[in-house]
Formats: sequence, structure tokens, C-alpha cells
Amino acid sequence: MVQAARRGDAEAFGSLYQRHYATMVWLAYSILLDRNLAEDAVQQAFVKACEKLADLKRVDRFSAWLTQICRNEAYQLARSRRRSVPQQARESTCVAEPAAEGPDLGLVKEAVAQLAPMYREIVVLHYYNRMDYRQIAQTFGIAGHTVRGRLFRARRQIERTLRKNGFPER
Amino acid sequence: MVRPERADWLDKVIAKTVPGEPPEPDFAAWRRAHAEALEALAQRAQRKTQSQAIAPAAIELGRRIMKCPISKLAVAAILAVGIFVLVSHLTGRKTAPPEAEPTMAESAPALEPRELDSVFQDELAQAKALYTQRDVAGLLSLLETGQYDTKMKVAEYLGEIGDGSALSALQSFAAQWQGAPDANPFQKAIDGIEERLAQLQPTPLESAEPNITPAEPDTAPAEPNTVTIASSALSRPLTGASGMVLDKLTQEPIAGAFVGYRLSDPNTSAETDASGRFVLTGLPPSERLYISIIAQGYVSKRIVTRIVRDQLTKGVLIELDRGSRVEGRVTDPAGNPVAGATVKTFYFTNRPAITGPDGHFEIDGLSPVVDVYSLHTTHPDYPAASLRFAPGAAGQSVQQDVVLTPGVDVYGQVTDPNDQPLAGATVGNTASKAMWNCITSRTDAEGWYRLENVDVGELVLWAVHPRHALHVQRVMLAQGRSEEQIDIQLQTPAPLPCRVIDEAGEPVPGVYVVVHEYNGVSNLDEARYTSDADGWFVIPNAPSEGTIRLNPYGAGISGETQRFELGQDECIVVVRRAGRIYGRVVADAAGEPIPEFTVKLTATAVGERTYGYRALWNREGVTFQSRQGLFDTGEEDLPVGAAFYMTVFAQGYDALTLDPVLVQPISNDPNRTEFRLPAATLTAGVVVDAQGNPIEGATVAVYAKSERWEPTHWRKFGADASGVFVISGVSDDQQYLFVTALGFAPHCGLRSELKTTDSRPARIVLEAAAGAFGIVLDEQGRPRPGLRVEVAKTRDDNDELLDQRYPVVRRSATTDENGYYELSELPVGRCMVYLKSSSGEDLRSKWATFAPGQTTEVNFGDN
Repeated sequence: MVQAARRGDAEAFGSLYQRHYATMVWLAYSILLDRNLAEDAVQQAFVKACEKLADLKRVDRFSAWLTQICRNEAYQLARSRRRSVPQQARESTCVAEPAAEGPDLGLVKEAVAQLAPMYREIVVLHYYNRMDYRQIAQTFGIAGHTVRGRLFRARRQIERTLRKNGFPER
Repeated sequence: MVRPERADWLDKVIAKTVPGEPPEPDFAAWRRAHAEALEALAQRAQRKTQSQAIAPAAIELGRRIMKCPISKLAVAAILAVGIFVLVSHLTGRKTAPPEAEPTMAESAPALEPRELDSVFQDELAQAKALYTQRDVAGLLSLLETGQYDTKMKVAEYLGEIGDGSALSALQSFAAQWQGAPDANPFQKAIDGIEERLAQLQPTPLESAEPNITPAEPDTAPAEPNTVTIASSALSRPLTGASGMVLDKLTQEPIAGAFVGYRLSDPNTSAETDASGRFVLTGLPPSERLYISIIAQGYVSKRIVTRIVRDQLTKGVLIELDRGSRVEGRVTDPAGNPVAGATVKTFYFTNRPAITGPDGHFEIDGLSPVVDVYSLHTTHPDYPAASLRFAPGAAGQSVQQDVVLTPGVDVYGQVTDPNDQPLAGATVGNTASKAMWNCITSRTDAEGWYRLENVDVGELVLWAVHPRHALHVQRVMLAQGRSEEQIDIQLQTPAPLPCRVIDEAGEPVPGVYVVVHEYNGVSNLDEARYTSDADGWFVIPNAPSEGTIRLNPYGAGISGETQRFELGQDECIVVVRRAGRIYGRVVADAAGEPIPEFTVKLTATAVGERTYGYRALWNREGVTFQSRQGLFDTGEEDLPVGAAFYMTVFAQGYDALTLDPVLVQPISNDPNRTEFRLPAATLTAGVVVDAQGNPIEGATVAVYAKSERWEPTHWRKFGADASGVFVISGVSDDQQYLFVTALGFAPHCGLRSELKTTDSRPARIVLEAAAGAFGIVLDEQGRPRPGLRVEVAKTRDDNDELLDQRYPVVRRSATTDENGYYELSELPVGRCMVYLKSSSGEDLRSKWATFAPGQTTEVNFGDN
């Protein structure tokens, strides 16, 4: 399918879009922590991908290539937001969304938000997009054990943050 | 609310924080909004296609240029000049300055310390120091105990040093290598050593004094079975071996047999042709090169042969016994097939099998006379599984399914006595770090470790850190949990001073000592200590309580592991001085030396048994060539005064066993033990059935009392179409006969049965084999599929002498989905019938008596 899209087949590109859209949105969300911004970033990422797809040399690395484009777009958007949004407003936007489910889950979201991006993107894809180690590894073009290791560390970090904040004992 | 203790509580709470609905792609909307992007893609794709169309024409032009030798040379010259100019430009100078002559340490392969963690770095530094000192013993120790990356580096060093004593250790690692064959560092080291040894080997000349060490046997100038050939195709002669592979029973050639030095290397392997012949070239020169032979339907075999540089060792005759198979399915507990699992028997010549999508595997080439095989199964998503099975009779297949059970990920934090996290501690999960299924993990900067897919049940959890006491704990891992957190707190060590002395009480300096075992876990600590001038050394990370076992070793001493209770002020390690067994092999009649013979060595059957020698000695034996018939045990480090059981074989002579043979101090003028081999005697017999009909293909095995449990050591002879067999070359103590044939119950007897008063050969009558069938039910009367029913006969019913010498005969089958099983080829008489779990654990057993040619019903749980 990547090969066909590379030859300019719009339908094939459409299939790639359908297949990777959700993953890319969650990936962008892990950087921006905002669903609307994430979807904007992904729209732009697919534009970039479409423009450069003909130059892609290794079609087997399409997922990893698209992932990197999406990350770049998300960071680009985050930087532009930082330049345009005052500090106070940014905090309310980029930290977790309002904890409608209750204060405990708000703490969990905050703990996720405090993770380093490298860990946060794995957590988001694993828990929100329900991807297993292998799927994430395939998408990112990295080894499965690396994903496992990152997820392990991320969980430990979340657990520690929660404990520090008294979660969930009360 | 109290925080739930379940391991997945965190998973659940994170999953609950999903912000909003899943994203839904709408390509049509995107396409409307970004039509220009798709347009750009189409245009670029078109341009690419056009530019690629030009490429074939350019390639064709290039080919035309390269066809002409002159233009080819011109292109090469232009390229060379171009590269030179580029290099000069980039380096800023026209020629590179002459490099300083590297020192020995500098010439060692470069390390990359920034990428290495501290322990690995320590090991590498240790390896480098040992390499600089050319300390082969030290490197071998590190090869055994170091991390895997260290092992690879050590192998590299050993390859550069080129000491032949490292070969056997490296061969075992080379055989376990699972990466690309070309990248096998252990094999590269072996090749390096063999090449170096070959270079050091002088031109074969008759030496005045025979070389009596097994590593360097003296060499006759031109051996009858080697020939120097010049290949017309190659500029240098071939190095290798040629010969023939035969069916041992029928002496018919075996076509299509694999004969090879490395199982995966086509350059050092060959297939036999229709006449069973093979020519194996490209072999490294070696005094003892292992060659594997694998043929469908036959027992895989490994032989040892001598390969001389630029010579083809001709006439290598290999006889194969008929073999059996094991096959089955690898499934998960729900019965779903597990694809991609690696299944292998721990036997050096059998290739591992990889399960396909249906989980099926099959391994050929098993020996029917081996008592029990171990079947090891590994898969990245499951804990490794091991079970034992009894092979079937020749030509038969044993069904053995494997169920892989999900494991537990064990993780936790390692802290010091002050609750501070400890980085760089090694944590492991088995009773020996050297075990095939051991999983280890090193703690990260925050002291965390993780062991994935650990087996449920008892977990032996150990941790080692150079500055803290060794730690061993045992915990039970319950089924049904995916993760288990086990934190470990290491204690302050109680440094233990030790002293090495010999049997006379004199201190022994320079002895290497490693902690062989602590509280039942062996090989956990990689540190090695050396005794000083007064024999002292200190173990800095000794715990204050428990038991420790130390292993002393080194040149000139023969150390055995010694156990000590901790908490003492000091411990004394007593070592014995190393010696050799010196022998001389002569013909009994004339007293003339026998120039070529094979020596086997094993623990004595009388008195204290000593081990620690290489397996080669009691497996294949060591072959010597000496015009004076001399040999010794070389660098085996056998303790002076120890006794061994030694057998010498030579073509045309009966084997001779002497027990005990004593180890003597190393000497230039030793008192040699003489082995006087009698001329070969031939004893014939005939194997018939109950009606007196000859049984073609019966196997007659002859063994000694000490070999009862080691069927691979038995001497075996085949019966021809008339049922006739001839025994020769066996030793006096091989007094027991074990006769088997497909469809018949085995016969155990004495070799004296073959003596007759007249000239007619003795008759051995085999009874028809028995059979069994039955059903296995649980307490509620439901069938129990997947269990193993095993029939074992380990003693003779009537004869008291044979009762103690009867070899083990086992046959087993697995129950089907209805709990049924069937068994054939059973021995007759009283046997024990075992019911076992799929992993080989005994569940129940009962006695049963089997009659010749009859099938008996034996049920479990039907009452």
C-alpha cells in the first residue's frame, strides 16, 4: 500500500491515513496534551507526509517515518503555542484536562503528564490507543524490549508520583 | 479507600483517564482540505518514475564499459585517484604519519567504556589485564562467569592468544551461539586458535622422544591415512577429510547424510553421495576436530578426527545406528498452538526444531538406548520449559507435547542497608547462573530490576553487588498474576580472610579462588581472588551467615570445591598438587608397543571417586599416536594419588581396563602403568525368536558394571540376516549383554552365555515384546488428556546378579483427549508403570506384569 501511495495513488494514501490516524493523534496528544491541538498537528503531519512520500526510500519504515513527522509537527505546534500563549493560560491548557472523573483520576493524569515525552508517548499509545508492545515497537521502528523497558519505567514513575501525592489512600 | 494490592491497579487507573472518544479518521475531509498535497504527491511520483526510467540505460552503459578490461582498469584508476584526493583533502595531509608500534595491551581490541556499565567495565578491564598477562586460565574462568558481552570479548582475547587449552570451553559456547553464523565470536576464536596452532606445528618429523601429552601427541612422518593432494582448481592443497558413512547394521552406504564441522556452515559441511562417500574441505587444522554426522532415521553422531594442514585425511569410516524420533505440539494452557518456539534436546548433534503455525515440531536422530532425554523449549513470551522423555525403539517416534505456561514478570528495587537504591547489582532467578534458563537483570540508576517471564512456583532470587553481602532468598510465585514486586535489601558484608594450603600444610600462592556457591546458588558471583605469597586472600562481600562453597584452581594444583560455614574468623582451603597418569600400551603377546590407541578415563569403581576431567575422556576417549606406545593425561590437573578407571582400545586387540590407576607427581621419568592388550578374540552368537527363526537387525550391546547407567559407552554389534553377530575388541570387565530388536522384548544376560562346548555359536532367544493400553481418569471420572504413562523395567525378575546390572528400559506415551494411551515394544515381566504430568513430575505409579506378545490393560483412576 505504501508503494502504491508512493506512486501517487490517492486511494492508497487514504488507506494509510485511515490506518495510522488514531495512532498519530494519540502520539501528538502525548506531546501536546490537548486533543484538538493533537488533531491539528496530525492533519499537518499527513500533509507533510503526502508531499514527501515520493522521496521515502524504505517503504518498510513508513510507520517510523510518519511517526517522526508527526512528532515534529506536534513539537512545532507546541513551540508556537508557547510563543503565543501567556504562561498562566498555557498551564491550564497543557496540563491534564479537567478531572471530571474525580480528584484521583486527575492525579493520575497529572502523573502521566509529568512523564518525560519518551515515556509519555508509550504510555498514551499503550493505555489510550490499546496498542501492545509489538504494535508500538513496529510503529516506532524500535525493539519490543525497548518499549517494554520504557513502559516499565514509566509505570514506576507514575506509581511513585501517585504515592508522593497520597494516591489513592485517603 | 485503601490502595489495592493487585499488580494491575495502575493499569486500570491509567486506562480510565482516556481523554474523550477514540479519534476517527475522515480522509474525505482531509482530502478536501489538502487537495494540493495529493497533487504534489502525484507530480513527484511521476517525476520519480521518469528519472528511474533513465536508470536502466545508465546501468547498461556502465555494463558495456566494464566489459572491456582496459576501460575497467581506467575506471578503477580514476576511482583510486579520486579516493586518494578526497582523503588527502579531508585529513589535510598528503600521507598518513607512520603509526607507533602498538604495545601488547594496545593491540587488544578497543573498548568503548562510555557505553559500558560499571560491572561490565570492570570485567572488561579484568579481561584486558588477563589478556596482557596472557593468563589463559583466568580468561577461561571469566569466560565461564562473565556477562555474555564479556564472554564475547574474552573469546576474542583467547583467539588472539591462540592457546589450545581454550578450545573445548569455546566449542561449547560456539555451539550455543544463536546469531548469524558468520558473526559467531566463539567460533572465530576457535578458528584463530586452530590457525595459530597449525602455524606453530612443525613439519611432521619423527621425534626422538614421543610427545606424551594429549594436546600434542607425537606424529609419525607420513601417516597411512593421510595424503597430500594438490587440487587442480586451487593453488594450494585441500585441508579436510574424506570417507564414507555406513549403516552400522547392514553396512550399506547412507546417501544424503550431513557431515560437517559446523552445523550451519555450508563451507565446512558436505552431503554423502549415493555410495555414502563424502569429501569435507575447508576444515581448520586441529589435533581433535569434532565432526557431526546427521542422517534421517539414524542416531546423530559426533566423531573426533585429526586434520592436518594441506592434507586430506582419507578413509574416515562412520557407522550410524538406527535412531528414533520425538515429535509433538507446543501449545499454551488453552491448547492454542505456539508458533516460533525453539525445541531441542540437549545433545550435541541434534538440530533444534522451530514450531510452525500449528505448533508442531519433530526432532530426528535420537538414540534408542539413551535412558532419558531432556527436551528444552524456549519462546520469548513464555518461561523456558524443560521436560524429560524416554526415546522410542529404533524406527519409532515418541509423541511428546509441550505446554508453555505464562510466567510472571518479577521486578523490584535493590537497596543498601540504609535504604538507598543500589545501581549495578545483578539479580537472577535460578539456582545457578550457568543454567540454560537463567534470567539476569542489572539494576538501573534507581536500583530497579526486572526479570521477565519467570516461571511460577518456587523462585530462587539472588542478588550480587561487589560492595554488599551476597543475597539469596526463596519465594513462591503464584499463578494468575502477571507481575510481582519483590524488593531486595542487601546487607553489610563480613569480609572473610581465607588461606590456601596444600596437604602438607604449606601455603600455596597464586591459586585462583571463586565463590562456587552461596546458600545453594552456584556461580552467582563473578569475582575471582588470588592467594598471596602466604596463601591468603579475602572475600570482601561474604555474608555473615549461611554456607559458602569455594572453588580453587590454577596451574600445578588440583582443586576441589570446599564448603564452609560463614561467621568464622577465617577459612582454610586445602588443595592437592596436580599430577598425571603415565601409561604405556603394548601387545600382550610380544610386548611390542602399540603405536595408535584410544584411552578412556572415568571415576574409579573402587574407592574415592574424583571428577573434574574433560568429558572427552569418558565420552569419545583421547586417541594417541606414539611409536613407543606412551601416553599421559597432560594438563588435566588430576590430583596426585587420585584413582581412576581407565580403558585402552586399539585396532586388532581386545580392550583392557585397569582400575584403579593412580595419578603420579609430574615427572620426566615417571613410573608408567603398563596396559598389555591381548590380541582380539572373536565371540560369535546368533539371535533367534521363540520359534528359532533368526532375527535380522538385532543389536547386541556389551557393557561393564560401571557402564550400566551410561549406554552411550556400550560396545554394540549387529546381527546379520542369519541373526549371527560377532563380538570383538571388548574388555574383560564388559561382562554383560543387552540384546534388543524391533518387535521383541530386550534380553539381559551375561557374556559367558556365549561360551559353548561345541563349535556352534550360542543362541540368544528373544521373546515377543509386550504391549499396554488403558485410560487415565481424574477423581470425578473425567478423562485426563496430556499426561504421560511410562513403563520402566530396571531390574531382572529372577537372576540376582542381573538384578543389579539390569539397564533401564523405558517406554512412554501421552494420553489423548479421551485419556487413552497405548504402548508397544515393552519389556516382559514385572515393570513399574508411572503416571506423570506433562513436565515429567510423578503423579502415581503401580506394578504390572507383562507377558510376551500380549497387550495388558493398565488404567489409572478408574476405580
